Amino acid sequence: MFKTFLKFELKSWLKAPMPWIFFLIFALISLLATVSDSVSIGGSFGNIKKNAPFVAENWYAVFSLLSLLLATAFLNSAALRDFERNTSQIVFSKPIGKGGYYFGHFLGAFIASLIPLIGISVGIWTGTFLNSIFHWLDESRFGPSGLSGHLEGFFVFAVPNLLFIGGIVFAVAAKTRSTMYSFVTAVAILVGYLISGTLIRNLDNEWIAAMIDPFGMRTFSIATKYWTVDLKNTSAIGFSGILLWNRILWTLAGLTALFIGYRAFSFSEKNNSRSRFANLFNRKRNSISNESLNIEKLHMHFGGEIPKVKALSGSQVVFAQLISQIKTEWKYIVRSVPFILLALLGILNAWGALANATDSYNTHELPVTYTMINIIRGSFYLFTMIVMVYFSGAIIWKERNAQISDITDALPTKNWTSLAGKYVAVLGAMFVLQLVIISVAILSQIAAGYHQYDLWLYVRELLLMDMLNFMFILALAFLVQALSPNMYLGFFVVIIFIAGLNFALQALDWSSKMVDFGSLPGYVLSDFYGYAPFKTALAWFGSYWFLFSLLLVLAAILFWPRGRETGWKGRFKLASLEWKNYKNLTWMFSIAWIGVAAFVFYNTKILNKNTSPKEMEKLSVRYEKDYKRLASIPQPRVYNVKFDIDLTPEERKLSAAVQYAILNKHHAPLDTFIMNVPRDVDFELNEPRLKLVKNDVPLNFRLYRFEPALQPGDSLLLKFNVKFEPKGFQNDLKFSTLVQNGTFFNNSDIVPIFGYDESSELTDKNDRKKYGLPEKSRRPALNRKDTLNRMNSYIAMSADWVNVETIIRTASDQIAIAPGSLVKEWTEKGKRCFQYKLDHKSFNFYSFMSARYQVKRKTWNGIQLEVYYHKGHEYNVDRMLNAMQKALEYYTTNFGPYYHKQCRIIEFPRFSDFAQAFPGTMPYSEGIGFIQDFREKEDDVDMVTYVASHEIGHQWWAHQECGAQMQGGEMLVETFAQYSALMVMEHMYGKDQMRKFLKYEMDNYLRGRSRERLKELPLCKAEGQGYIHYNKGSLAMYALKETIGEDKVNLALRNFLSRYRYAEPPYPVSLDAIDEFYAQTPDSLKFVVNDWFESITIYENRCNNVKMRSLPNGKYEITIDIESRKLKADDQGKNKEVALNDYIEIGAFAKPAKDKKFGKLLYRQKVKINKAQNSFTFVVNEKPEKAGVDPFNLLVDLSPEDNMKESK
Amino acid sequence: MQLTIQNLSKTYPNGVKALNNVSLDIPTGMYGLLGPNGAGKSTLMRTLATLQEADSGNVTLDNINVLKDRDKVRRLLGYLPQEFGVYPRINAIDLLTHFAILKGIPGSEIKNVTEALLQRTNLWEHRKKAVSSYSGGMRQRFGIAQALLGDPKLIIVDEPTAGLDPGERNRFHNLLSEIGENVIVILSTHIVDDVKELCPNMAIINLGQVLYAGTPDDALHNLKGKIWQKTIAKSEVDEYQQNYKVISTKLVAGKPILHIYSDLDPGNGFNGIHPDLEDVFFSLI
Repeated sequence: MFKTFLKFELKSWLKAPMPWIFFLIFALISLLATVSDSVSIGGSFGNIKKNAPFVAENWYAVFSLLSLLLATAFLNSAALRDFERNTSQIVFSKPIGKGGYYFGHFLGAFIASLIPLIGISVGIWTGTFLNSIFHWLDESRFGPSGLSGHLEGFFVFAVPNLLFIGGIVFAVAAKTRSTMYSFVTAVAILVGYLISGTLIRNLDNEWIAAMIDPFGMRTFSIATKYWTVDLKNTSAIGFSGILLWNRILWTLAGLTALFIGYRAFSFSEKNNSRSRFANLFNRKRNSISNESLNIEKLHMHFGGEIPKVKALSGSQVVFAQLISQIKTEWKYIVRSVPFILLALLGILNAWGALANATDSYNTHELPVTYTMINIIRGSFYLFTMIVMVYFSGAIIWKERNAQISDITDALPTKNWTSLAGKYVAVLGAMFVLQLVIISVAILSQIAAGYHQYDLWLYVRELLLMDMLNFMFILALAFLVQALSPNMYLGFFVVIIFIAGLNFALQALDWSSKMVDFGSLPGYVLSDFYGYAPFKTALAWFGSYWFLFSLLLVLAAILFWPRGRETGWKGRFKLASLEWKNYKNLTWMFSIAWIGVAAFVFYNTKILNKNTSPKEMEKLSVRYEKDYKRLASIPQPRVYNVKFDIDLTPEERKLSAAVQYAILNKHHAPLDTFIMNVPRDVDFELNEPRLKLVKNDVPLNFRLYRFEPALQPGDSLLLKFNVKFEPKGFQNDLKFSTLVQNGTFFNNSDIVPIFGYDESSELTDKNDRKKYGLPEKSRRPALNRKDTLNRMNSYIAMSADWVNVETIIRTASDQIAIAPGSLVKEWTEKGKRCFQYKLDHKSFNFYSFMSARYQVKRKTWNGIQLEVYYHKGHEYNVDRMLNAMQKALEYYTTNFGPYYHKQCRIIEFPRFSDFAQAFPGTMPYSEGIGFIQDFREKEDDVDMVTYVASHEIGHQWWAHQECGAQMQGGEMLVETFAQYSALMVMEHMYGKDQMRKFLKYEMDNYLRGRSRERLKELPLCKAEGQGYIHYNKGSLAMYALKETIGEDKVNLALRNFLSRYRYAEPPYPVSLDAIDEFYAQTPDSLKFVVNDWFESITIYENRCNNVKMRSLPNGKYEITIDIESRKLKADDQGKNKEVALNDYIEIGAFAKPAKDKKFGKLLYRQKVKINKAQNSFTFVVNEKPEKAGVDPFNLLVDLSPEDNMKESK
Repeated sequence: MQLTIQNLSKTYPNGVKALNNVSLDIPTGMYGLLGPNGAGKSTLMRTLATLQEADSGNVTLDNINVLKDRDKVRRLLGYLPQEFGVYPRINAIDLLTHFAILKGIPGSEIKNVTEALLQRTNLWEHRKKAVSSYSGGMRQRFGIAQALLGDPKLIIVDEPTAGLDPGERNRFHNLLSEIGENVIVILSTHIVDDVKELCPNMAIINLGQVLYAGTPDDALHNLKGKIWQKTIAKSEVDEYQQNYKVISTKLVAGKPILHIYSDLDPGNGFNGIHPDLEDVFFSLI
């Protein structure tokens, strides 16, 4: 019996088109993702092979989630088939077994629902095969086609996931016999999944998050998060570890649901005749018709007069019609299940994120309004868009789908009122969604105790700007649905358009917003300036798309689907009948649109040149091809700079007169002078001694000849003028850091760079290949003897150490800041003027800022500590001042003197999210530290102090010495600043904070290396790889400090610094600092410097067992069995085990107090380990919670989380 | 009121000639449009109801050009399509009110009109129920209620009695004939009895062509003395089909009764009968 139903079910699916259509769709998507880089499934994979087992497995995981609704459709229809086709009476009246019936149908549909997923493998294999013929992508991007990832993907993800979904849905469908309940169940599963996603944000919940993901996707990424490229290319993960437990849990959940459903199913059958289901189902229907029959018998005759009221016409009638249309359509939308479901789903999805605004370090941010708005856009708009796409179709096809269109179409209404009613209703529904999500956001702000909700900002951003964009897209969707002969085709076209537009524009290299449908120029809001710099462009592009959308709407009105005419000939005939009504309006809007378009075109294409990404690429290529040959020509150096900068912030105008004193530091005369002049500004240079040989305007490249040649030791005072004045408005705001309030630009925006600028070259390997450029290493190889490359630091070209003097003029209500001490301040011609002068020569790398600042000051040891901030952003200002003082105290004690008389933190607008160090001056973005939330979040890392300390560290590590433009350069700057900050933190907060911080550094390093696109290098050779010079750098320096002591590390740094402080080139390389580390390290430990700085060393420490015994004296004896291995990795992450002879810590922690993340340290001891398995016994005073090896995560560990184990 | 159809033709994109040079004059009163399924009735009705374009030809309602001046026609039109559904989740009074507004009934009269119509069509008790839960007969009555909105001068009802039980059908006929006294009511049907009972004028169409237009009496008169009937054995049917102009074969108590057309007495056991409208219908198509 079971077999019969299975066969029947399978057969009917195999004959149905649906499994095969989705099979083809899945195959096509994975084929495209395999042979191109523009389509990606579940994120891109860097330099992992396109057909790697890891990729295949990952896609199975992603697609099994996507097929949630698909599987629901399959299993739901299998469960309901007999009811929906009214064959239940026939089927159930046969002598059938309930088990065979139930499980037979289930298994058949379950197998059928797996068919589409096999398309993934077919797509990958076909793609790999086709690529071997057509070579769309480089053959090296593909590995051998194997089965492993596919099989693992299928059995680890596809099968359990569909069993889980299918079991539940089938049970619900069989029990409730309602398609709606099946889909509600599916949506509920999805919501559960999304909610579990918010839990993963906090690392400590990782295990829980891994277990509660019913689809195992996050489990998969957690289990493989530290996988290296090599591992991903060669293996897939099978049933093991947490993934195994997750799969068992959710498969069992699915099967349990299936059996519960079976029990419920068999119960009904046992009770009554076999056709009971059928009766249950049909009873409702019969009862209605019975009832109505009875009622009809009661009222046998028709009677009564019908008032003779004529149908009128006229504007009053039209208005009433419009209102009634809107009302009816509105009710239809907001009462419909999809609307309510989607709204709920969206709110649930957004709620988690809104309630927990955190940044990348998991620290809490104040729920400021623009953060809320970004969260809403990121987590809610997907649902808003689905509502829009779905209802634009459902509402235009409403009458036809309900088969009432014959009646409504023959009513004397205008096409435009029908359209307007529907359009307004959909837009209104979206508006309500916006209102609801704004309320949710404000509620979550209130819940977080933050009360500066900026209502006006919500209104402007979500109710005006975004609604405008929705209006445009909705107009398009309406036109598509009005023209489409089928609602689903309409959906398809709209979705393809929305999803594909960016790809298409990218492929065509059209970057103008005039062709990016409905989009406005990008803008960044800031408390500093609101919308000010973007206003004009927004207004014009807004009008442009508004008028265009009106034209789309008019077209939709003309071709409004009315009546039974579906042929194009007939529809054109109808449209031409309508044309006379809308002719004038259409002409009017067309002319207006063309006028606006012309004006926008003039501004963005003629008045301002807009360079597309591909044009930029080509310019880079030409720069390299034409001028690379000039790279070795020696250039003069700047040694003295004077600025006179005149800012007119309210007009975004700048003019500057600059004096550049240059010097020939070489031993031969210089005759060729290469100058890369700043982009975006007018640059004017008049120097009789310089003869212009070539002016390559598109490349901003100039070639001069010194006449006569600049002799060795000879200097010259270059005077040049720079001017910027915005012309009209632009596609992308030019000089976007020059704003009405909150200007922040650095010297490279207004001064030229001398010599061939290698940083302009294309860097991407594949791009270079495409343009026939030779392969390029990211950095010159680490080599002490390479004195040529040591002549430049990696920060500043064209100069070594310079003196800077600045006069800067700005609006009378703003404060302008330039490098150095304020010499004097005065008012001149209605402008506030400041004169600054550097107290000590510095790198030619500094910033200029101007805004309506509040200033908070403090003096420490004769140094002015200052925080410049925007009014209203005072939350963390005191903390910053404190951090400055603490950092300066530590650094001046341990590293050497501070050479400036002031130390400033200056807030700048959100157009960038970083903090940066210039001599004595540290710009700090409005978007980070100023909004970190410290209220009752004691366990959060104090990012404000940390970042401030890091940037102040740069006053030593960057501004007193800087690494050469060579591998490992950042180690001397970023790594040391990172270490400095760690020390400030440790002294301020003790080791507990460090534990958490190191954990994050470890995590980021391990993740970073698993995403490496080219090759991982040891710390001393890192090529601008952040995860190495920041995250691994922190770990290595901290571990070194724990090994040889803080004093020794600081002594080494001090010695290194004293050798290179403000020294003329050649600049130091990482090995120079490593020498100092070796010098301070006892011979027995010297290997650690090699392990951590000069090679990639990874440990695998694990605690296998913890035994605890209470002692009579109230103490506890702990015995731990630990396992240790030490591995050296190559640049692709391939590991080789090496002999162990290391000192590794063991330790134990008590249970954390309530609301705390970390327990008290009970025991910590360094032990020598020279074999894999070890066992230690020690006694602690309090009851321990966890014990194990490397408790502080000092060593880079493949799986840091298994170091400690709970004691038993 | 006079509806004039002149040389109306319509060919569908798939090549089907739905209307082939149709010309009809339709006066005030009930007008029956008789034809088998697929004859072109619905196409004609939909064209008159402004839902479809014609390839050529003219239609005028008094002096209104029906094919061009759609808005005017729609204000005078009441249309009950052959099949129609309703929106989910909306009750009868709300839906009828919505239609009344769309029809152009002045706001002050809407309540009067809709309530009267619902009472007239016996839906008053059910006015708060979702129309989607109505039985076939109730839904058909709702259909006629909406078709009567705005005191229409041209009422088009397409196969209105299909699916109604005999009692409902009678009541429906009564209502129609009452309304049809002063306006044009075009009733399309494939049921001969509907026309016989209601319509002073009629047309028979098949394959897009008008086969007969006039009064039912004239049609009967034309056939007088030309229809002959005989009861035969089942095995003989084929033979008779070949030898006579058989217009219909009906089973009565399991035996086939043939009706044939013949100007003269065919003998061979055939009896002359009084033709009814069904004979007219079958003899023409």
